Amino acid sequence: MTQDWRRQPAIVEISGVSKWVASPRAVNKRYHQNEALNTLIELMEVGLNAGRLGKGSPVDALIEKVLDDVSVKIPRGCVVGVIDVGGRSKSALLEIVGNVQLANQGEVRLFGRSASLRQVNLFSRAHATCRQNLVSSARIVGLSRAKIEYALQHVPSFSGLGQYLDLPQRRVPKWVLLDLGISLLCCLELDLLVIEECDCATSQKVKRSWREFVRRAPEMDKTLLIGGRRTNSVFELSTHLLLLKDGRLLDFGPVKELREQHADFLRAAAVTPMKNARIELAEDEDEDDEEEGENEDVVTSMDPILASEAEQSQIIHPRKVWTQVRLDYNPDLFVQTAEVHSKPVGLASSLCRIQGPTRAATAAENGASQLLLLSTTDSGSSSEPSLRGAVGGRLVIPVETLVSNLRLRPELEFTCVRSKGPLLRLLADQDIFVSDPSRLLIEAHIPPNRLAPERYIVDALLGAAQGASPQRLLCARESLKLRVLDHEGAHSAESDCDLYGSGVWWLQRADRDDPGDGLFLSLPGSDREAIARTQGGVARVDRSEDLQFSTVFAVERAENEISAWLKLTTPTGHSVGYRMPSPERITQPGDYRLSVIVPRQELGCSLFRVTMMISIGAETRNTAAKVRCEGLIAVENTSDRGSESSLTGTLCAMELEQRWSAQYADHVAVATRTPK
Amino acid sequence: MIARCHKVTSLADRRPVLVLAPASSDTLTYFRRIWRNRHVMGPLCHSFLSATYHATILGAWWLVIRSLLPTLGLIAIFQHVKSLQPQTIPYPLYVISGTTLWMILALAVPKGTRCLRITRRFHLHMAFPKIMVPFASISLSLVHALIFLIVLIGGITYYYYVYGVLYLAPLWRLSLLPIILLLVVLLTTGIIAVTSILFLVARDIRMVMLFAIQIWFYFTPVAYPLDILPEVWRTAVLYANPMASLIELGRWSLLGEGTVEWPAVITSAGVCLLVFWLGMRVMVRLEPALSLVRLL
Repeated sequence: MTQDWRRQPAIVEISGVSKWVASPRAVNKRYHQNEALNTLIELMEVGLNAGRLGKGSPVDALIEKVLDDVSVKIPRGCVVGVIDVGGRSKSALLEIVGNVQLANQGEVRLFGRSASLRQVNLFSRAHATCRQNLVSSARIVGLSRAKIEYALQHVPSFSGLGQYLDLPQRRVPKWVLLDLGISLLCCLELDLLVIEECDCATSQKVKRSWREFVRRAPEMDKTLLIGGRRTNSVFELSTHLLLLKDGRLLDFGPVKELREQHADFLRAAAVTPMKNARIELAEDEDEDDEEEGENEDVVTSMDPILASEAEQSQIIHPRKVWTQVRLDYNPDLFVQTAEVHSKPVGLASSLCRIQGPTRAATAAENGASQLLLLSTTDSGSSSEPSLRGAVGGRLVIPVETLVSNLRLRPELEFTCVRSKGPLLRLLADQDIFVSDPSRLLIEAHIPPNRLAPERYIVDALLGAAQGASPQRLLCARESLKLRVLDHEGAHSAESDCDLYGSGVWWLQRADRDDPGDGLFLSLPGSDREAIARTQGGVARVDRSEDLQFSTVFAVERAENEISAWLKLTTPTGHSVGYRMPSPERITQPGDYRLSVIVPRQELGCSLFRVTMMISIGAETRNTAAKVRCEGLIAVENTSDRGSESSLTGTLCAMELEQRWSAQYADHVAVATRTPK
Repeated sequence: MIARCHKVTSLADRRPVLVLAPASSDTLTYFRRIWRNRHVMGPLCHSFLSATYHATILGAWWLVIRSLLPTLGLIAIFQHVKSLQPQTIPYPLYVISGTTLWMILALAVPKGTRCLRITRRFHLHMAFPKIMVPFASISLSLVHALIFLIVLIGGITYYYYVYGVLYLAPLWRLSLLPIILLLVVLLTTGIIAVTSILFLVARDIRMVMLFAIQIWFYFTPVAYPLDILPEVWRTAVLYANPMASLIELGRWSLLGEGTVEWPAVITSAGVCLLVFWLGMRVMVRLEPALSLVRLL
């Protein structure tokens, strides 16, 4: 394309095109309980107001504008890559130019024969052969049968898939249908080709032919409008770019000019996951429709011969690019690209994997000696990986992605041994976008004072989604045992209780509404107290909340002193405690409630056995009776920033221990209240 | 490796090959759109025809079997009922001539009610006027009608050679047949245009239409002559049921036998055109809404 591309005659004139689509918010709007009736009313309302869309009609809330007054002239003989952020405007524009759907406003004038890949790839009759389907699809575009037959003669040489042409469509894998469609489109006598996904070719032969076709398209005076989920591919193939921002035309021009001019926009377009341009309709069932489900039994698996051929033809060329990218958006996680391979690994492979112990040798070559590496650690005497809870540490996860255009969301889950669920989750705030198959080292920073001294099972989870797919799949999970040491640097199972502080204690007369026996857990200041009872199970509490423990007991004699302390013990014996600063004096007999507030974030994430000991006696040192209540809590972090999650679950295993001292038995009586 | 491609169309002519404009509610513009997309009709009809009996051993023979067997059963039973016999023509010819037109409506309406759903793949891959789908869905019924017509011609020939009587109307009357056929097609299209949209919303309409067609059949002189009805009922059937007049007119124009009352015929033609116009207006009006409400 020469520099005076503006003087070239236009093949497409787009003038003032606007497009509305159904807004996802509209799903919530309901007119009637009955679904069918609801849809009927909605249809009538939209239908009656269709002429006033976007002009203050009552149904404007149901729709969303994806194209807003787009006007552009596309010169002939150029390959135009359409790019936007999010993908909805791009898809809408390509569908309008490709006559797949109509605009709501404006006009598109085509000065040549055009077709879109979507039209050619109709394949509506599963029982007919691929050739018949292709002829039928191309006839919809408006081409004569003779021209289609002539083009079909060239399809085998273009695609190398001639053997599938005369097979019934239901016996042919889907990827072959796609390849046949793109091959026919390239061989047809057309002036304008609209292709929504430029990387849709699957087999190597079609890929090569397609790339060659795009390269030679300007020579052949053909114009291509292409879009794609991989912005890099669009750059690579295009001679011109059409940039859309918020549904409006941002710019149109040669790639060289726009690439620098709109660098930020293009970067944003490359890393933003695409939304679905079309809300896919759920396939509802028709039990008695003979025409329904024609394409149900279409073969989707790959021909084994062709699969092995495809695998053999893929040559791996490791480029060994070593880069380190700090992702600013996430303080805790950053990704380090260790090695990049330009290999499209087998088509049937999964998206990515975490290298497990069986791959230790391979991982070692890349600098990773084991599954999860501890960068900052005090190894201690044990061979078990460990780190100091007060300092924090880093975990490194070697990851290998197997396909291109992947969005990864790594996550670490820390589960205390004997705890049922994870207590601490470290989750990347945003996706890590990996454009090519690569080997990565994902490094997670464990913040200090988050984990209590305890043994943990660390699960590294990797969620991945390809391209614009909204569905993120959990595609890899590996575990590691990790020991967290206390602040002294040593893990002692027999260490005494570390008194963190006094907490906030108070003693008050119990109300009639107070529940019965047990140790209760509640949120301080909450109206509804005692949401947890000692009835078994584990209470899961969030670390970002203050915790209030309370118990109710009865004192039958006056003139006694109460002293108490709360102890939280991890399964391995490490404990933290809170002691009442000074004994409280009881002057009247009756029911009393003793409460203590444990300040937020003084506890690390772990499983704790909570024990509240209350000593009651004429003098504190000569205890007449002791009340001991116990329960289990799992202190967890639902998010790094601290969520506002409320308490859930129950404390368990209350034990009332009464050790009567014979000499004071006449003076003190301790009893528990009967549960309501 | 790239396949050799054709020389592209000359672009010297600066008139646009295609103008893609928004869907208009104007009827004339809508007809222009239909004409511009006429090439879609062939694949659509082919899709309806081929999908009906695919994966069957007898294949297209089912068209013949499905058409004739019920009618032959009807003839076999009712030709022995004396009160149902027409005065001038044999009962088999009477029934087949009536069924020829009736089957267009009776087969097309239940099938066409589902037509928008059956062709949803087309709508996702191509923008074309949706009214073309009800039109295309009638193609199967027209094939059935053609089979009946062939059988009818065979019957006329049989009676001519065996009994020496030619049950055929004068040739000028035969020229009315295409008009009658067109009116039946328009009536059917109008009904399908509405029911196919309703079917996307609620499946109840299919059940309703099956009942409606059954009841409609009893009020249509397909298997019985109108003469056997009382005067009041005959007038009511002729004026209120457009198919009654059209079938009687068709029988009159083909076999020379039939109760033709021209005011009733004109009324029926008017009803057919009105139903078609209403159906098309509904389709034109609701077509843009179908995608916005996510029905297509």
